[in-house]
Amino acid sequence: MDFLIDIIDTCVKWIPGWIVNPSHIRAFYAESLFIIPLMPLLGFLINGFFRDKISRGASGLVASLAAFASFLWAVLCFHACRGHLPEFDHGAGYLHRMLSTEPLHKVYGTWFDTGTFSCAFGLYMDQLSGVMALVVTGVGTLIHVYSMGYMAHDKAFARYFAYLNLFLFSMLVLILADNLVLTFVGWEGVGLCSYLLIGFWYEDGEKAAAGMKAFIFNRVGDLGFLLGIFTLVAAFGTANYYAAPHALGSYTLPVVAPHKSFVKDSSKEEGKREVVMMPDAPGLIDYADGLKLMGNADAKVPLGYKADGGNFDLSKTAGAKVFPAGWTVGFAISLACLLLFIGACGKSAQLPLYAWLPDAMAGPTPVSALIHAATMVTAGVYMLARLHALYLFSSATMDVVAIVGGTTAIFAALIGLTQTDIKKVLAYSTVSQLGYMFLGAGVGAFALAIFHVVTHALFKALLFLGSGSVIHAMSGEQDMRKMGGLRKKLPITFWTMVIGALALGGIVPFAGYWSKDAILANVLAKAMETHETSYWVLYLFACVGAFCTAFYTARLIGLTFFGECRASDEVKAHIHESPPSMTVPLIVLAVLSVIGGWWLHNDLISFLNFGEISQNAENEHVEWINLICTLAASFGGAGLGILLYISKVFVPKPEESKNPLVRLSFNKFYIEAFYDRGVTGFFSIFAEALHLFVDVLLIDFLLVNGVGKLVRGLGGALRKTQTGLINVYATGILVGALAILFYLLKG
Amino acid sequence: MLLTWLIFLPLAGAVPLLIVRDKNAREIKVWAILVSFVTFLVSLPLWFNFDPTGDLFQFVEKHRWITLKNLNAGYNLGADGFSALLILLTTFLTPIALLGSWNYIKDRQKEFYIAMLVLETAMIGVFAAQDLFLFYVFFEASLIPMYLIIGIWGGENRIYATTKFVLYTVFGSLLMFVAILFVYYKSGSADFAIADLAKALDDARAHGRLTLKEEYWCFWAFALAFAIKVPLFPLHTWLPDAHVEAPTPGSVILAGILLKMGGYGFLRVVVPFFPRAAEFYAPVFAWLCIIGIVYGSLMAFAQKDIKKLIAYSSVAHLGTCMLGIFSFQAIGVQGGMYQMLNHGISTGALFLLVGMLYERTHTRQIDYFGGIAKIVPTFTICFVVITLSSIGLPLTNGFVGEFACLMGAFLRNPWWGFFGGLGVILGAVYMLYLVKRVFFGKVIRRSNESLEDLDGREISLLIPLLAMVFVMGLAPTPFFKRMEPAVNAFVKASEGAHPTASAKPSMAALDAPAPAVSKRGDVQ
Repeated sequence: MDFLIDIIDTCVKWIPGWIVNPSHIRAFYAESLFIIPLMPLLGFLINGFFRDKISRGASGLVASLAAFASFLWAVLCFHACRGHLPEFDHGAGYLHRMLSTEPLHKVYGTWFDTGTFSCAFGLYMDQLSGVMALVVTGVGTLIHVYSMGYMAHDKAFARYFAYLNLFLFSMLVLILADNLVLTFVGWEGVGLCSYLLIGFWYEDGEKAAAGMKAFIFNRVGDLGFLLGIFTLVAAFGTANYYAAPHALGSYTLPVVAPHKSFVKDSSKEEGKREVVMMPDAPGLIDYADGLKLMGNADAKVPLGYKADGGNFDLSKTAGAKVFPAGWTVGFAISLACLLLFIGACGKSAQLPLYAWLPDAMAGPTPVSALIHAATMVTAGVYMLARLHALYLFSSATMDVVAIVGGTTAIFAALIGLTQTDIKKVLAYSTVSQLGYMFLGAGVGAFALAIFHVVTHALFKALLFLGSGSVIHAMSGEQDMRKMGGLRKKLPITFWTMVIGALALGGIVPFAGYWSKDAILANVLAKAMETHETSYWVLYLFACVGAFCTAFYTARLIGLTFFGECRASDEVKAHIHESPPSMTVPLIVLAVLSVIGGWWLHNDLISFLNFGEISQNAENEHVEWINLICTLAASFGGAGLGILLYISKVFVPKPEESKNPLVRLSFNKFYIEAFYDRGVTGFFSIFAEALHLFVDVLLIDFLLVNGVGKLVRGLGGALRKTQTGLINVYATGILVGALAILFYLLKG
Repeated sequence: MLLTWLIFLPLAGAVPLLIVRDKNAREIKVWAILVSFVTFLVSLPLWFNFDPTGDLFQFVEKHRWITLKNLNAGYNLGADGFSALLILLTTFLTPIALLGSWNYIKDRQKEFYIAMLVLETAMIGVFAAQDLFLFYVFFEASLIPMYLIIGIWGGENRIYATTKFVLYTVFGSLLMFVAILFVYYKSGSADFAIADLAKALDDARAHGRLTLKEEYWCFWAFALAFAIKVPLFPLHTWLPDAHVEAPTPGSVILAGILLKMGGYGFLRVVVPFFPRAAEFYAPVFAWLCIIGIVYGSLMAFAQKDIKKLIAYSSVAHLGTCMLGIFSFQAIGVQGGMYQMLNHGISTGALFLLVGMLYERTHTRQIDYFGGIAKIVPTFTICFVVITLSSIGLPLTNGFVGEFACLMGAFLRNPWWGFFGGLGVILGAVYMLYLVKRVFFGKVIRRSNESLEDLDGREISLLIPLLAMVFVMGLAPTPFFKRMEPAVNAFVKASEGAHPTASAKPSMAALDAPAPAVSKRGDVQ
């Protein structure tokens, strides 16, 4: 993309005056951040409102152009905020020299302000959100183009592209938001688009149900996310990540400054005491940085803490009143991180909230590639990385993240071993790979987790799009046992998918190897540092998971492309390579999957420059052990897979298998059945029973109508005393008089 | 004079209808809609001329009304943020509801539109009255037209439903009437003006003339009346029946506005009058709200009738509103009030949509439908958008209100936030399950294949609601600004009897200098 910058540079040279001041350029890009999410929003509105009038070609073109424009702008903004890389010094262009290393931050206006809490529409782009935005818009553009071919025969073409653009918009809001509440807007927005796109073919009740399931599982996580926001707001009084920029592009970060008041102090350290100066209206990350600068690495200060020098001040927040006495800021951070992680589990399909993702494969395959592999499901990892400064305060939460991630990684990989639906294999593979990302984040290697997000986005999108091409060719067949021998008929798909498989399997030097290997090295290093059994177990899990990954990937390739074609004659007749709109994105992604890891592995990590990449992992000792383990795992798995499925082509029949382990894996450890039947069944029976017994019987029949009946019954009984006969009344009077007399005489 | 105009405009508009012949149905409808629309236009100064930085009460009118020897009721009107927004909601929804009844009401049209206009007068009166006696009169007066609307134009089981509705409500409000008189004489207030009464009660409390026990009793008498109206669990069972039987416009008004009188009563009367009792019983009410949220959602899930499902969802949503209010946190009260407006918009729209479906098929059974998204796409889009607003998707109105309510609850007691937040999940469950069963899947009934999509009239009455969904979702700040003084007054009143307010978590009080928490040793 450097040539683009050069072109702009050349243009800029001819425009003197307004652009001379470097801050103007930054100001321009900060101001224009909104263009990135705006483009897909416009696309959505056009395709949404004119869905009946717009022609197919125009619809796809509008959507793809919107995605591409957004990508272009993201590239420019990314360069504007990118770290100060050495080559910039050599660059002669204005732009190169003028761009500083600071993030772009722009607050466009207030969203809501209740007087005690306010939330703004603000966008923020630093290296992290820049990388994510590039992945989302870049892979997004390719998938839009691919979709034009894949969905060519669909009736609701415009609706599809409208949803796809709406997704891009939401995802970009999620990524570029400058506060947690706005992130939550995108967070729920992508959930909505996922719901709409999974149930895109809503006439099939099961697909509609899968969409609903995804939304509800996500909502479970979203409650955690909301409560996490509340906790942070209680503790810090804000949901912003960073302090608002004063002038455009100018930042104040927490700094250590000499304490003026100590100059007169009579203590020994006179004049030497340093205090932390916070920016005005600090954000969450500023507070975290401030705490760290003050030497509170574990934030063991009480809620509502106010430093007695400097301006670190939490005394105006509600935290001390909301949470039990004696809670420290660190406790609140841990709680918030844990709650937010529940949100991440929902969105990123981690145990125990993963069960929606395999069902999500009911959506069109490009959707699976974009939303359920490359972008949306990585939102959880992004959120953790965004808040890494907080997560690093809470070792307990980090342990939880690592354990959940590592367990999910091996759990889903084991399920992937026996699935027969090509998309289901990839779905479980995605769950498993997301597990690796969380494992990486859990050991503190946030940059590596994001690195794996990037490489995974490339090769998993490739694999999904490839499988889409296969499914397209097979007239919609997804069962790998009915495929086979496709490598001759679909050469481009075959070769690109092989590259994707090598990358996923973690074979040197393809993309997946670089990121996965580095994560594993960090886990090993952490295990060596802490001597905790749990980390050794996690490392074992990760290695076994890597073995399984390589195995099921080889199996997928073998069953699909090798051996004899097992499809019916009718299907066979239709097998054809996909049109260029589908194969070109495949080729682009394949090229990136080959070089992506090697190309990015130094660059990305150095300018993502955060988290605690273990020093130990740099240790050659660790590196060698890890290299041997991971290579053994991936080559072993791949070799076994090739042996079983490529050189021999063994067609599995897991549903008939007597082997309990195979049955367990094929039936997904029965967890999904438990959710689908157990939880859902219990829920509906419980609701029905509650309705019948409490509402209808207890409240309405017994209490409400019971009172009515009682009154009526009493009235009916008393009515009978009103006979109208004088002698009855006279008898009554007599009895009454006697009773009074008796009472008086006795008293 | 604005508020007087607003109150009596619909009533005056109803008078000419009395002499029109019943067969001029079209003219009657047009006239009624015109009157309500003019009322809406007249109410607009409540938005544009309301000064959020000005007096707490604006558009004030004060006249003598009943002056007996020891009973001094005045004709006092005024609008603070709560009143102004609720009056606007009333004048906004009424024309829509009337337009929505264009085809729905077929017989006795004249009487129907008279009843609706009288109802509008009563509702505006409730929100505008700043005199407890006047408030009570309007509060009760609103019952009569609603009684007739359900009882005459309702469904099959309408007599049972309307009797239940009236008896439930009257039971509460009679208790309240006794308490009103008790409070009036006990406090020694010179008149029934709500502000004077509150002041007199403060005075009585301070001098020990109002014992704690008396306060508790009065609190319950008032609270019961409003809790029935809200309705809070377990006093909600009149609502599903009333909604199922009520004609569409009746449901819209009932859910959209009448229920808000309950919440408004707590804001205006119960808490400011009896802060000690309110504070003492706040946890009871909060947990009732939480039960209402969870229970209402479960009930909604179990329903087979779309309208009943939405009625139960109201129980859950109003539970969220009241939870926000009972947090006594500024943000929670803001949220509770905002969520009441949102509920008026989104549930009103849902009832209209269900009514449209009913007009076409004469059934509301969920089983009857399925797969109709393909046949009525515009209708589906409207329904889904409103559904999303109802389940609080960000950038629709529902989110901001729910978020603020839950944050208020959380800041009061994290467990309230957590359990109240279950509604976030459960709301999605029952609403999306409804959408799935009605709109998705295959078309199971032949007769549904000829369903007609929305016509111009229907779209035109949905557009303002859809627009409000996004306006209130994207730009809530003007609403919050208008409410803020009223909210702060409310929060202050709720702390009235607690000089040691610092023990209570309140973000409103945070600007005051906080006790310094300093641990010197922790900092280098």
